[in-house]
Amino acid sequence: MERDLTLSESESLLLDEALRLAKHLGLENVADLDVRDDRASWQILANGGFLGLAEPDENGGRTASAVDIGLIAEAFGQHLVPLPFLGSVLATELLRHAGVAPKVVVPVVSGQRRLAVGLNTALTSLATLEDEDALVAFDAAGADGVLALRSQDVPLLSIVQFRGVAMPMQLDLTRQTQVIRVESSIEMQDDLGEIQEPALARWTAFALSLVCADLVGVMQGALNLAVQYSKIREQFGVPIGSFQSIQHLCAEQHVNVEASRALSRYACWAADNREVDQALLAARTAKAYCSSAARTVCEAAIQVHGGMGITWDCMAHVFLKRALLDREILGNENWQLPVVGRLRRGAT
Amino acid sequence: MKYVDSHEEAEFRARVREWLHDNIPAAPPPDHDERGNHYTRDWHRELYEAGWLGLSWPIEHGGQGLSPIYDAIVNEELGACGAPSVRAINHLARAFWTAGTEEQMKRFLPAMLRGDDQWCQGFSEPGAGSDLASLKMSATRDGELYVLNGEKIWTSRAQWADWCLVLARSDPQLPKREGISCFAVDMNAPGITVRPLKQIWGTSEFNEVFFDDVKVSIDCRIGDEGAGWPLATSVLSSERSAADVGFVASFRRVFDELDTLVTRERNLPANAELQLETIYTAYEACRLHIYSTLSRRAGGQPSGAETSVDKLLMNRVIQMLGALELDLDFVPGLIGQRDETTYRYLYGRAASIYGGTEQVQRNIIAQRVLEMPRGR
Repeated sequence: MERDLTLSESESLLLDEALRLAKHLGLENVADLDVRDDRASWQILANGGFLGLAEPDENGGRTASAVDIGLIAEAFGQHLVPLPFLGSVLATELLRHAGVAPKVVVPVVSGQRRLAVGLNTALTSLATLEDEDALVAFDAAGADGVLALRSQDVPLLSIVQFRGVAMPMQLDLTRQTQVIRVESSIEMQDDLGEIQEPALARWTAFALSLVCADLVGVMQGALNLAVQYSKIREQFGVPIGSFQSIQHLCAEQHVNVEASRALSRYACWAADNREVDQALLAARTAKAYCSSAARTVCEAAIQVHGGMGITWDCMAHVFLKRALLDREILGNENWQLPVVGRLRRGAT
Repeated sequence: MKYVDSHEEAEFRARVREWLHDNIPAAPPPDHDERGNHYTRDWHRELYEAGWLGLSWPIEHGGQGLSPIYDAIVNEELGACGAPSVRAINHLARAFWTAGTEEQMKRFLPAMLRGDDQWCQGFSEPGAGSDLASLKMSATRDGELYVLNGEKIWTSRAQWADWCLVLARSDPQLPKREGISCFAVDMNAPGITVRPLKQIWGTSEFNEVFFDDVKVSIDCRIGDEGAGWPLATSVLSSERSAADVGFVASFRRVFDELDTLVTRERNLPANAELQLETIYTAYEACRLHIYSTLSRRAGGQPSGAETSVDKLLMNRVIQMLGALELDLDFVPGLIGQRDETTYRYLYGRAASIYGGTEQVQRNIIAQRVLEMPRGR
């Protein structure tokens, strides 16, 4: 088979299916936020096998490729699916790397139990319990456990059960984070298994790539919203989308989205197929670019909507806010760029 | 998706690399003038003789009938090792593959590929730049001939070309896009005058070309009479192709120079490192996007508006590189000690103009991809 950067037939089918499901589970307008049935939707994901994508197979490998999972993340981002899909997949992938027993994994992939990943409070890396006063469970809607590291010669993956507190409304309206105080909110803590340094780097590359995929989806969704609006909204007797100022603004955003997609898909592929340093470089390069591009695209989507764009009822802010959380997860562009430089020069 | 060479591609790449290692010209390209043109033509012929050009062309036109990925590999290796680039000709050949007769293809294509015939592209006119379809050059039918009158501009390397692919209006009565036909015109024909224009970097690559009762045989019309516009659109969108991969690979050398500078120098502007890494991410985005466009083409999809995305991404990289060079290393150029930097910076300004301005590329994306309504 020759070098081919287009989607294979099975990848295209998967993307179509994911987009259909995402449209069904996603948000079309702000009012949908109040009426969604999170549990029923979660069971649809579990029954469709979407929670088991990072489940270890009989050899400990992953059930689905990172490219496949990335396509689903793109679709879910595009339709603002308000479910902790990313959080669940990232947690399952950590369990897989630590060789955790099926009795922990199975309830997660069957949808009975939700786990999230614990980040440091700057959101720039997986949390190590000894180093933090608090950790942040990312994408933790409905989760009662969070995965974090314990500092040993070989780091240990640990599961922390926490007392959930009702969270005030957060900026991202489609996903939840939960701040867990190490002193006061932890109910129980169990060590699950060792996780070696290269495996952690692999996980980081995988996680960054999937956050990028979500960002690409969010950008695409925001751009679609703006373009649709520009065809309907009339001023000076014509749709505003016929003005070059609006056309060029949207065309630039299309370039941003396509460039981000090229990087994000390569990063997903590299997460499974490249040496770990190369995989990390691809992932951090993508994260730097996508974090910055997503902000630009979502801000432009608000601009195209004019006054409507700064009202709560217009969906543009929901895209922007999801992008802003993704932007910070495992580091925004300002965080990534110097690291990209070091990785590029072969330093670790 | 698969981002690595297949076994055959990897072997091919290794052979290209080895050949280039042994055969790369010792002397750098001379200035961008007639000597430069000779140099590039010789290099083209040498590459063709060695079997590295026209890999994706049909065998009967002198090519090797392989996937366009192979053209891209050659271009990528050329760019990566700092070899002189070759001029893109695939988009001109595209005109023949789209609408030419078998006889025309046999007559023109092998000589074009060998580098024996050098071609230029006579599309733009003084009054028809971004609004190309309003071109005025007339092609009046006279028995078995057409008689061409008018003026072309921005015609790159017309002063050295043997043939020109010309768009002219064969029926002034029809709506502007329907009355255009396409011709292969012998640049030595009586009535053609070429006047070089001097560019901001001091040499003359493009020209004005005047046509004064130039007679063109009917068998040099490519496609039907009045079918020139869709042909021109196809040529323009495939102007960005496998060659771009080499173009992008050559950015890498400039990037590496700046990288060395940033690592070595102490007194740098505060944001130099971040700028450099931002360029790296933009470069990677551009490279990967061009490869995916190429993959679509290798899969048999015709080139469309996505090539405008490639063009805009390339412009961003070229101009970001130019901007960083201005900040880091421009003074030697200003005081006459190094022309390369000033040339590269100035040429960067041309990037968002030639091949359709950045604004035209955005119109194409807005109207053809995003399907936004045309303005009045």
